[in-house]
Amino acid sequence: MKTASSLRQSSRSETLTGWLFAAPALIGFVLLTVVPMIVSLVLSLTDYSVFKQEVNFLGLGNYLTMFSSKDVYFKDALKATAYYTLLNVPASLLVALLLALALNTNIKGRGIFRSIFYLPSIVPSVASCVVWLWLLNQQYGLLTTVAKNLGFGTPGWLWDKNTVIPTIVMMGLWNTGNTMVIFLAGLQGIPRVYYEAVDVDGGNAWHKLIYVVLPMLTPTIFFNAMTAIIGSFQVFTEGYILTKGGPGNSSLFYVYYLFRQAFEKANMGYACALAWFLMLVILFITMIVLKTQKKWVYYGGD
Amino acid sequence: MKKSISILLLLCVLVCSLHVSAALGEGDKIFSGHTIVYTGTGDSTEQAATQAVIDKFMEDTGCEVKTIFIGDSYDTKITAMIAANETIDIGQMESGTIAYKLAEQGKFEPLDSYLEADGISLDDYVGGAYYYDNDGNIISYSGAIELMQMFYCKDAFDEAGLSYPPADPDEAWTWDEFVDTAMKLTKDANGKTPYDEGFDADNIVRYGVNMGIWWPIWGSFVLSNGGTLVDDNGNFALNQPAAVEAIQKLADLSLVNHCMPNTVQQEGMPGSDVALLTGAYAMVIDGQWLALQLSESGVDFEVGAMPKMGEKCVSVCTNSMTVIMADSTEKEAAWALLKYMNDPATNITLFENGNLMPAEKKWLTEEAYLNQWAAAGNPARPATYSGIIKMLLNNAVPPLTADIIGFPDMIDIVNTQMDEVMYGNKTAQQGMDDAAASIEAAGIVLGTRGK
Repeated sequence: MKTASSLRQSSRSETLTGWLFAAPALIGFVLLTVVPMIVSLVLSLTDYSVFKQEVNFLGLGNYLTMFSSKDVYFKDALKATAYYTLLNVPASLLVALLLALALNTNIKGRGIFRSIFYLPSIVPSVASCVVWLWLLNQQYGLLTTVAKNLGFGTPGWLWDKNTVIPTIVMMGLWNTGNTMVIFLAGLQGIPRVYYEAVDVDGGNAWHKLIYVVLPMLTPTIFFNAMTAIIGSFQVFTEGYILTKGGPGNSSLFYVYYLFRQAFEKANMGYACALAWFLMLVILFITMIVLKTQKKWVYYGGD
Repeated sequence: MKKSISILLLLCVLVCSLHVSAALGEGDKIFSGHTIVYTGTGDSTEQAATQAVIDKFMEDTGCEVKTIFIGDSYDTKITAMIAANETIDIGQMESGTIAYKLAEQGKFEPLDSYLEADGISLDDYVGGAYYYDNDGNIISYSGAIELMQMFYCKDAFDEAGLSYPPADPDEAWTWDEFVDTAMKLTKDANGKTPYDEGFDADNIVRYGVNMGIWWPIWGSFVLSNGGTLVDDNGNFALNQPAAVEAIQKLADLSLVNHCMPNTVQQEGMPGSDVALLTGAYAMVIDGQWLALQLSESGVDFEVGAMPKMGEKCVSVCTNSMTVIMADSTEKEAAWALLKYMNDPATNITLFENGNLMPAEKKWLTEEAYLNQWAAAGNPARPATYSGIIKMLLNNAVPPLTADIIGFPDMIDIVNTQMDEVMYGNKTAQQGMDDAAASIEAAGIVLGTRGK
């Protein structure tokens, strides 16, 4: 009897210790994430403006305004963000995968190459934006000169509404270091026996890629695709620093538009509604991708 | 022991008496013991000049001023401060974005009674020096002002054998004279002008003119051409014939006449100072503040009146709005600081170096005052400068942000369409019709502020 109670006591004190250890993270999560989320959900149902004393309850009014003709920017913002996501996700995955494959081969100075290709990821994005502005400069830019000499004329890059989004995607490819590292880890997790089996069967490098590497890498591809989709929908910096949403509204990314509504137009309630709608969109797309994973993702343990 | 105690006592007495005398000295000053918060923006030169004025104010009045300078994202920071109920007693506001949203909520102290009490008459100031709220109360008055004007270097004109742009606004170029000169000054890599056979528009080494496409500049030409942005009935009027004609003519400078870089080409050009110095631009139309940059870079420049599109030369002013917050508990001190800042005499630096022009008429007309900031030999104020002063007195109109209700929401839509027009994707008529449709769809209420 005595032992049982002391056991219960010690397990209770262990539980307490556990909670205490988790407390900093939990308190942070609740105060800095859960509470602001609930507040923003409530605010999204009001016309809260930082400057006004009174706050009126609008119900779903803000959400209806988004889809009415009253908001002349919403469709442009969605369009720019969707276009960016469609281009950026496949492009960044492909480039990161190709880089990872190249850096996974047994070449001399592999470690140095890996560092070099990872390096851009640790450059602050504002600094890299400024460097790119020079590369793309209409008169003296390196890339402009290359394009001119190759006979493409002078591309408008960030200042032409037809090229602005592809240009921003191209700039982002420079930053795929994190994705690349995850691919590299995935590649190194593939057991050698599978490659040896292909060798025994008389297959070449191409067969290894198609029949071993890609299937074994699907969980990694899946993870990277998910984070890339979510990240792409939340693109902000380039629109804010480089283009201010222009030319026209062709790079008015959704989150940048949300920021403008909140801090430049003082429509905080409406901005909260925009944020919640974006969350629903991302949730919906994430769910679709999750649903498809049974069809193409192979987990070795299954 | 006794000795040390007496020394200690003596020290106590000394320290106490010092404090008393210091307190007495402080007490003489009008705002001793008061503290106000000032928020401002501007580049490092402007910040230093403003700080100098504030330091002098603190010394003269005994008032403690907590200065918050915000470089980037001024609106964002101000919005956040107001949301967090942080104190601002007096601050600069951006008239084209959040200022009137705050004014409509009664956040700014009306200044009429303060002006009257101190005998300040706005008749002594040029027209663009103050901002009214929708009810006609003065919410800001300014001792400094800016206007749009032309800058050029004589070399390009001498080389082409052309006469210089007139500085006197009464003799301002007509639009056709201006375009003709700009085209003759434009050169491709082979030295040909747009008038010559075989002119290569893709390899222009000198553009006749450059200007930023934003509201004070296109606004000046729209108004000169007899157009307006919003008519007296509160209707959007940039899609009316006179305004459309003006906007199309501006777009044609690069699209048809090839004498100005388009918005994409502008991105590749150096700053106006370097471009004028190296002859990449022959003329630049910009705000008068460019005089500071040009003189600092050692450009030997001259100034000219805005070309006229219609009957009269028009130059749209801009001016920084400084308001006293209605919920300030230190309004008297804030008002005293505002008056200090609005008097060019407290710190003449920014006027002398070309950054600002005074808005009070005596500073623009009386020799003794003029000599303090625009004396002969000042590199920021060239020989032709009297024309610019005349333009400010006779041809300048107040900032469009001051006169138009709904400006911040309207201008975002107009800017988007203006991009399309300048790039040649739409005609001015199409672009401005589309802007009108968007403004109507968005339910933006426009109007003009009565005075």
